[in-house]
Amino acid sequence: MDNPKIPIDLILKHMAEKADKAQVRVQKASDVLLGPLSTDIATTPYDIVFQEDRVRLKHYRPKKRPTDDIKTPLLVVYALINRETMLDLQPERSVVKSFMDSGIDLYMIDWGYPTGIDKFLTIDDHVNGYMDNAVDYIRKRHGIKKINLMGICMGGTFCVMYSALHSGKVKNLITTVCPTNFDTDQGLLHIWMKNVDVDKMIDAFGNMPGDLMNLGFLLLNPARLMIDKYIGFMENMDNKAFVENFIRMEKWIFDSPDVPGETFRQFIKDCYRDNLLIQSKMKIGDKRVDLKKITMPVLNIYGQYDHLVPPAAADILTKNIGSKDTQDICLDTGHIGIYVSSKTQKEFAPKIVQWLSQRDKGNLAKKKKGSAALNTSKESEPGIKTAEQGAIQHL
Amino acid sequence: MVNNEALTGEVTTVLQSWLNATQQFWQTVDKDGSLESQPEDRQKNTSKNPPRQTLLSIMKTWGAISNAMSEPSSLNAMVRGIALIPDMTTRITNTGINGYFKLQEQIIDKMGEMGQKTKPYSFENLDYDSFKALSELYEKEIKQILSIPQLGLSRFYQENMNQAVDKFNMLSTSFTEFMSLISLPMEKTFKVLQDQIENMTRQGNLPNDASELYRIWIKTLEGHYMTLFKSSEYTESMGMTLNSLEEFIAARNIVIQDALSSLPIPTNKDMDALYKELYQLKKKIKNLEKTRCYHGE
Repeated sequence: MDNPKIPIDLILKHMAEKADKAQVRVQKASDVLLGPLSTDIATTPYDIVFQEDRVRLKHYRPKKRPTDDIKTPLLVVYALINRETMLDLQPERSVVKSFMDSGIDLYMIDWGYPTGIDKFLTIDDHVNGYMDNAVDYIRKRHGIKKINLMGICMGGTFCVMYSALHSGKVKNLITTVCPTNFDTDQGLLHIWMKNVDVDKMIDAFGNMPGDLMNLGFLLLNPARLMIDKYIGFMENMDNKAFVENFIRMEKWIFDSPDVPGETFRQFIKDCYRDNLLIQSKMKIGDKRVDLKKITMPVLNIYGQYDHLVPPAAADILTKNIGSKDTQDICLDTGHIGIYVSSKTQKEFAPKIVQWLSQRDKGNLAKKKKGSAALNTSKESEPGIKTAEQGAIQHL
Repeated sequence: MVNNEALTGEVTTVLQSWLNATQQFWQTVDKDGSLESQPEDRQKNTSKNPPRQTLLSIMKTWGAISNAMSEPSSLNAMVRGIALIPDMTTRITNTGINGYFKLQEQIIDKMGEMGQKTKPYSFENLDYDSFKALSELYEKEIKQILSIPQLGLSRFYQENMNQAVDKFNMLSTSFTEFMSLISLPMEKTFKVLQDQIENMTRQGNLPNDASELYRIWIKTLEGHYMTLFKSSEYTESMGMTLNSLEEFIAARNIVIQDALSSLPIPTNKDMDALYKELYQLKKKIKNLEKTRCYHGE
């Protein structure tokens, strides 16, 4: 007997099974959703040690004394878009915790929520003002000349600018998913930003509204970010751990401070439109950002599947700076997956710790004599697929 | 024709009687000075009391107008004017209705073509005619009314208000176009899925599990969106929508500012000036502090 072209019996059988499963799932889901959920984010204890206007400097309470390997404190600078809480979403997937466990003395800038009073703040105010004051505070507190600096996304771009302008204060620089080359059509953001009248936008809104930017990010992939993500949630809403992680991610994604108007205007014009930074032509205040002045060791990490900062936007930085000790690492993941996917947790933070310890202890010089492996090597970390639970998989 | 003449005759008679009555009324008012308290006060009061003087002057004017209007030649002109009203109304509405029908026609044509034109993973040569018709209809018929120069003391406020209404309409038009573009991948994806189901059924490998079909659908939808987002049509439409949104917000802010300026509430403009001053002052102080630090003070 031939197989039927439309196996109605099998289809109906599947539908019946699915209906039964869905009924059980909904019953369990109501217990999960109505019961207590642990969805707090950024729970690692910290103190606010320095504050200037809305900007705060967090110092994470060390669990143990800094190791001999990494004595120099590390300052992490997040982007002005979204919040730094992403690095500490939950204990099992926390870059902050991984750094603390490795004995790093960790500081982080919290840019706060800009309001009307911040609309005239420029990149100069952020880089040569807030950042420089935070760095000076740490240097003074620890009685040291230089600190380690790590930047994330736009925060990475700020760190690049800072390191070029204040190279005497930075011992090692780590840039992660950091856009420095904006002349690429790899990412939709790069295409769209060229068609945006930023002057009109800032004149109308004052500050760039966080919700409008979030809408733009959702529109980068509506099929996944507005449909499939929530279908995934419906399919797993009886799983308490999944729901908790999902809610944590939702809390982070939609916590979007506005970006100070003048900063946004300059970032779009000088970077996205004219691509001045990578050509060492960008001016901050009255100073030119000369990338050749970045002479400290630089570790540059980016994601192969990053749709916001595609590899082409991140991978040419190390070729344009003055440092001779550079390393590029391309991870097999997306823009956010690099920090929050559980698999990347095992690769990303340990890699940074290892890289820093080699340089901070001062044992790099000994190693370098016998090996050139650290000089401008480009690694691709295999196997870090973004097959993470619903919320993060497409970021 | 006969009916029209009879009607005109009736209208003339009614008008004639009404105008005569009006004329008589104003003459009476003027003669007996009924609005004045005492006859002897008339002369004194009219010169001393400006409102009363104005009232009397208005009454006289009305009397003169009634008198002039009751003359047969004026009456005939008025009747002719009344007869022209339907014609004038028809002409005015005709223009709008024609544009509206043109738009309807385009929409109906487009609806008829739905499913025929849509090719998977292709967003070139999109049909913009219906949006163009809508924009043209607005720009030719309505926008001009909002751009009529305003007169008098409140002209600036009225102009600002008209600008806000105009910008809102422009935003609605570009937003409709943008939403139509955004929904296009959905339309195309359903068509592709339909074709795939047809093929799978023909080949006898239709999946038993609906989630398999969902996976095909979402993957195709993602592909369609990616293709659309890279197209110049999308980028242009997005730019235009953002542009209209920004223009509307700017125009709306001006209207709000106008309203707030009459109240004891600071406007955005006031606050911006204050913010800027604060920003500059803070920057100066911070620079001074830094300089002092460097000098070891």
